[in-house]
Amino acid sequence: MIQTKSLTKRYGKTLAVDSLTITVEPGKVTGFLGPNGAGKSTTMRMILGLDHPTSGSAKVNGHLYQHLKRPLHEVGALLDARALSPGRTARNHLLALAATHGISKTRVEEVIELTGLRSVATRKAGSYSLGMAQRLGIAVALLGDPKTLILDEPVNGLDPEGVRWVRDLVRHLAGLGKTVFLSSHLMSEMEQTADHLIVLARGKLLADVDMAEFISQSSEIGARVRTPYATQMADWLAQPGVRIDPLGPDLIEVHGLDAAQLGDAAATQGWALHELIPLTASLEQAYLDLTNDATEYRSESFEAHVGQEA
Amino acid sequence: MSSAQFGYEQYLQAQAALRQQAMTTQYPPGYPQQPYPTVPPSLDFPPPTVSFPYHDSDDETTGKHLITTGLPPGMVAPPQAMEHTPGHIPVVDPVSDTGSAPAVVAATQVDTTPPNSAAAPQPTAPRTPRKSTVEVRNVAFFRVLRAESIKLRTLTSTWWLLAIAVILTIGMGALMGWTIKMAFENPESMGISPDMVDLFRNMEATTLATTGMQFMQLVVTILGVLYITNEYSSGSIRATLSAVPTRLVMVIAKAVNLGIAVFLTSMASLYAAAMVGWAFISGYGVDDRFTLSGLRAIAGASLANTLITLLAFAVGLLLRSTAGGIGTVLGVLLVLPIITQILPWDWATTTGEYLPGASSIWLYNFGDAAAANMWDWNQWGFLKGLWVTGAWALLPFIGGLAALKARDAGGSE
Ligand SMILES: Nc1ncnc2c1ncn2[C@@H]1O[C@H](COP(=O)(O)OP(=O)(O)O)[C@@H](O)[C@H]1O
Ligand SMILES: [Mg+2]
Repeated sequence: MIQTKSLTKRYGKTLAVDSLTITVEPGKVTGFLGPNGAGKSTTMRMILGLDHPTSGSAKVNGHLYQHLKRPLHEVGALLDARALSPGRTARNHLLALAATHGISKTRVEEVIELTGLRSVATRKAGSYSLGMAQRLGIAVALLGDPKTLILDEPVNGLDPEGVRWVRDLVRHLAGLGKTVFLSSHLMSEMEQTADHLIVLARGKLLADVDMAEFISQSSEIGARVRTPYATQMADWLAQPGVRIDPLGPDLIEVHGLDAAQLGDAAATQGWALHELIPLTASLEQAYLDLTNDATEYRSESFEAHVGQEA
Repeated sequence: MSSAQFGYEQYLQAQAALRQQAMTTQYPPGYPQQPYPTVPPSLDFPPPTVSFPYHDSDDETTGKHLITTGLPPGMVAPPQAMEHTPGHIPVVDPVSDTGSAPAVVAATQVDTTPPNSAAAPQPTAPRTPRKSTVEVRNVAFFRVLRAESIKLRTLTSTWWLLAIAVILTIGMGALMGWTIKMAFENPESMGISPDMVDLFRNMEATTLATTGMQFMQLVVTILGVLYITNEYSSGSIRATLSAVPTRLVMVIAKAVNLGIAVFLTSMASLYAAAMVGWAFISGYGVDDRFTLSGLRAIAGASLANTLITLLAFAVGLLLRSTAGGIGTVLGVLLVLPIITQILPWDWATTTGEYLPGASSIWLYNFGDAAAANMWDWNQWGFLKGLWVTGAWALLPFIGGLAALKARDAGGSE
C-alpha cells in the first residue's frame, strides 16, 4: 500500500510533481502512466525517500520510507536498471544489498535463478545489455520478498519474451496480495497488465480509474468496411447515432455500430464484405487524448517538417 | 475449437442461401447494384439467419488449427473479389501450440545480448506461490558495515590502487636502503659528508619506510574519493539508500571500512618497506633499530594515511564527482603547499604548516624536537599533528553528512 498526500516536487523552475494525492492498493497491478517528463520517476524517488518532497508526503505501508526497519522487505524497487557499478558482478551486487538485511546467500541464488541471470551472474555489470540489467534490477527488487513493488519502466529494453515474463510476474505477485506499482509511458504495455490506472501529465493527476472502467469509457464502437456495396450500405445505415465516413469508392468507416452488427446487417442484405475491421486503437487513443494537452514534449505533425508531396 | 452452433449442416445451408441470393442479383455494368432493401435498418439486428461461410476446425492429419474460407461455389464474385484465393490459412495458436510457437518468438525477438554471450539468460516462469521462507532482518549498523565491506572489496579500483600503494611504498623503502648502502660503501663518490653517514648509522629502520609516504598518500586518497563518488557516477547510490535509508549509517559504515582498509594496508606495506630497506644496510654496523618508537612511527604514518583518505572521502561526498573530488584533494595536497611557500608573507608560511600534508607528518615524525613537543597542543608534535589533521578529516566529513541528509539522493546526473 502506497499513499501520497499533496506530494509536490520542484526542481528550480520545473514543477515535476504537482500536489499528487494517490493510493496504490494491494492485490492489484497499478499502472502509472504518463508521457516522458510527466513526473513518474520523481514520484517514485520520493516514495523511496530518495528525493525530498518540496511539500506533502508519501508513505509506504503506513510509514515514511526513512522509518522502515526492513525497507527491502517492505518495498522492492527498480528505478534505473543502468544504475549499477560497472565493475561489480550481479552476484556481488546482490550479496552486498542482501547483507544489509541479513538475507542469506541462498535467497541471492534464488533470485538469480528466478530472473534467469544464472549464466551471467559472475560477469561484470558493465558488460550487460539493457535487458540483463533490467533482470538484475528485478532481482534486486525481489530480493527481500517485499510486500510492495515499485518498478519504473521495467520492460524497457526487454525482448518480447522478457516483456511477457515481467507481465506474468507482476500479475502473479499481485495475485499473492502484493502491491504492484508499475510505470510506463506506453499504454500498450499497460493494457494487458494493469488492473488500475493512474495517469499523470506535467506532474498533475489526470486519471485514477480501474482499467475496466477506462476501457468501457474510451472504447469507440465502429468498424471499417470494404464492400462493393459501400454506397448502398452507407445509405441504408444512415440514421441518428451512426456516423459514416466514406474513405473510398468501396470503403467506409462506420461509427456507432460494431463489427458484429455490421457483418450481420450485410449478411441480411446479401452484401459481400471484403474487409471488416473493428476500430481498435481506442485505448492508446484515449490515453493520448487524455494527456495531449499536457504533454511536455509534443511532437509536431510530420508534414510540417518532412515536406509535402512533390 | 469448431463452433458448435455453426456446423457443417449450417454451412451447407448458408452456402445454398447465398447461392440463391447471388443468382437473383442483377449486376449493372461497372459497380454492382442491388435493389434497396425493404427491411428498415435497425441498431439491433436480429441474429443472422444466413452467415458468411466460415468454418474452423482442427486438421486431423496435421494437428494444425485451420480456418477455411472461400466463396460458396456458384457465387459470382464482384470484380475485386477475384484477387482472393480461397484456401487454407494455418493458424498457430499462441497458447496451446507450444511446439512451434518458440520458433516464431525466436525469429522476431530483439536480441539485446552482445554477440559473444553464448548463453543469453532464459527467464524462468514465476514459481507457484510458496510460503515466504525468506528471512529478512532489521537493518543494523554491523550489517551495513558488512555490506559496505563487500562493496569495497568488489570495487575493481580498490585492488588496483592498494596494489600501487603497496608497491610504491616497498619500492621506495628498497630504494632508500640501497642508496644508504652505497653511501656507507663509498661516501666520497656519492658526495656525502661523514656527518651524514653518522646520521644514517643512527637512523631508525622505519625512516626508510616512511620515505614513500607522500606517494602512498596520493594513491589512497584516490581510493577515498572513488569509494563514494563511484556510487554517484554509476547511480548505485539509489539502490544503496533504498536498502539503507538512514544515510548517516551508510556513510559511517563506508568511512569505517575505508579507514580500516587503508590503515591495515599502510601498516603492512610500511613494515614490509622497513624490512626490505633494512636488508640492504643491516651489515654496515647499523644497530637493530626496530625499536618501539620505530613501530610507533609506522602506526603514526598509517594513521596519517587514514585521516587524509577520510578527508578525500568527505570531499567526494560533498562534490559527488570523481574528477572534482580527486582534483580538489590533489590541489590541497600538492598545489596549496607550493603556493604557501611562494607567497612572501609570514601568515602564508604559517598556513602552509597547517595544511593536511604538512600537519600529518607530525604523526610519524618522532625526532628529538618532535618528541619534546609530543603532547603539546600548541607546538608541532604528535598531538598538534593529530588534532590539525583530524580536523581536516572531520570538518569536511560533518559538512558532507549534513549535505547528504539535506540533498536529494542524486545519482541521476
Ligand atoms: N534531478 C533533477 N533535477 C532537475 N530536474 C529534474 C530532475 N529529475 C527530474 N527532473 C525534471 O522533472 C520532470 C519530471 O521528470 P521525471 O520524473 O523523470 O518524469 P518521467 O519519469 O515521468 O519521465 C522533468 O521535467 C525533468 O526534467
Ligand atoms: Mg522516468
